[in-house]
Amino acid sequence: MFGKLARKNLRPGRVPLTERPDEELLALFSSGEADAFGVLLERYRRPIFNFVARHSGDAPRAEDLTQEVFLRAIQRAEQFRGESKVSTWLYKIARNLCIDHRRRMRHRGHASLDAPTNGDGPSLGERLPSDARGAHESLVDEDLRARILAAVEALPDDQREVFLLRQIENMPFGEIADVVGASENTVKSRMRYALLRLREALSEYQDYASELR
Amino acid sequence: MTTKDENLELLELALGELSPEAEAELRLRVDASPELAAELDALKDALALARHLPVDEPSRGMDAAVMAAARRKAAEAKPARGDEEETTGFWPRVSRFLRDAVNGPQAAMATITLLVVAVGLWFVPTAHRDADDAPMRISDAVHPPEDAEPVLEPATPAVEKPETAVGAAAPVDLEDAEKRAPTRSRKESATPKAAAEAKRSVDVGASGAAPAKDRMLSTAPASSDTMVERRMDAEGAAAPRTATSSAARRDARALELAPSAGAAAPSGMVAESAEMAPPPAETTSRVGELERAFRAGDHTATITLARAILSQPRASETGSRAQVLDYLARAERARGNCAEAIRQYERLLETYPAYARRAGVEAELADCRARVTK
Repeated sequence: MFGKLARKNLRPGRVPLTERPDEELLALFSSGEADAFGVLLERYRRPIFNFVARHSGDAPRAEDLTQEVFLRAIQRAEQFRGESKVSTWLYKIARNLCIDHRRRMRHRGHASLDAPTNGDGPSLGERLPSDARGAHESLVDEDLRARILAAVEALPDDQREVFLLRQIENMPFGEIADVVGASENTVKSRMRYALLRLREALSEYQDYASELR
Repeated sequence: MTTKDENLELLELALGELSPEAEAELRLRVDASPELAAELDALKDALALARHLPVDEPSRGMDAAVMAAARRKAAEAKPARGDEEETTGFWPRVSRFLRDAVNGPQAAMATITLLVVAVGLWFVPTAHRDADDAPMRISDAVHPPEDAEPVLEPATPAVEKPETAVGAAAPVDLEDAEKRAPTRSRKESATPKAAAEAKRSVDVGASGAAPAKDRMLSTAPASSDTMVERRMDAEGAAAPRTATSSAARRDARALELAPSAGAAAPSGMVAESAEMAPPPAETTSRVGELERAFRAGDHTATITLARAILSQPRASETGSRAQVLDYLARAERARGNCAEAIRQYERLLETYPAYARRAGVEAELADCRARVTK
């Protein structure tokens, strides 16, 4: 159904692919336009990667898991009915993968790879290359980042996923509710608890936080 | 005391999501209540700190594999889109024919046909030559023809590398081979060295075969790697169970090179069960070291480490071989050595069909093949 819609109304070439909404891109892809998926990949590779890296608790394997998210999206593109947004659909796939991965890790008794590798050293997650980390970061920033990562990792799963979706993707609570399968008020409540926990875990930065506000 | 609704409203206020009217109304209440003000400050502090959550960038290597899969999938959908295109007129038809000929299955079929013919032409003389070294067929070994003379082949590779032995045991017609080169095999079997090797092989086969199989069936926590390899050991050596009399030793010697269907467990099942088995700590640390090298982008070290792990004797190997193969293939791919990467990916998929990252492996393999084709 979706493919027919794409063939009739969404012929490529009229509007540049990069300016088309996600739903059109997915429809174009389902009708055989591989480049349309390339645009979707470009839009979501970074937020999905960061969501997966923090939610799975296995930053070193985040790239593999992110790749898996997009491969599953490719396989299931034809099943997308347009009942939710493409972003919501992608995050649902990512969330399910992360939950499975965490479960597998617990089953195998792996320690979280976001934990420091040896004593007080940086975690594997922190050692990932990052363009966002400038060379002139202050020591406070570096320390704060490490502490935030640890605090986020320590959040309960249901609070962490809500916090990440809101913080990374700036997703409205209604959509987050769709992704995690809970009511909007429940999602807001989880977000509130997550923020209060974070604030407690980072209490020594309270003055700094007040300056940042 | 704040109510649940107030708490949620405070969150929305902190996030700036309240309507101007609702915000003004709530601010009046916050000003009048220190408790509400404290809650709002706490939420704002946390949000300010949360902005420092690190944002990382995935590597571009991931994109190539994803796009290779996307192109494959899109190519499957293309014929459907063709229904909508103009089909009337001479030039549209010519254009479509040319485009299909270049991009469509015709070109692929022609390429495959040429490849098959080329490989066939190249392989046929080789097959004839290799027949000299072929092992005896199982049926001939179990029921040898009365006039058949003992034919002994060097057995060392089969004993030391069961995997190779299984792979080498193609069922080549012995009689046919003998007709082509009857003297060589007989001459070799007559030399003391060949006889000694043959005896060693028979001893190992006869004494070690059955326990190898039993071990495979009884070792529950073994990893997929170990189990598959033990299966291979059993395949290579299980047949000589029958070699209890001296008359059967010759047959057992030949059978040693041939796979025994009875001993083989379904590879999918083996791999599945292995996925569930936790790898021992020693292997985990070595694979962890390998993983760190790969993540650090040190592909040379990754390849060296992977090959070192894979070259360990099978008896001491305890698991995660699939993961090691995966990292080896990915490191080769990252170094641009696509041919080797393809070889390792194929080896991985063939040996561990239920590997957890199979979809990713297939996508990367397709990407490598596309690069080689270019």
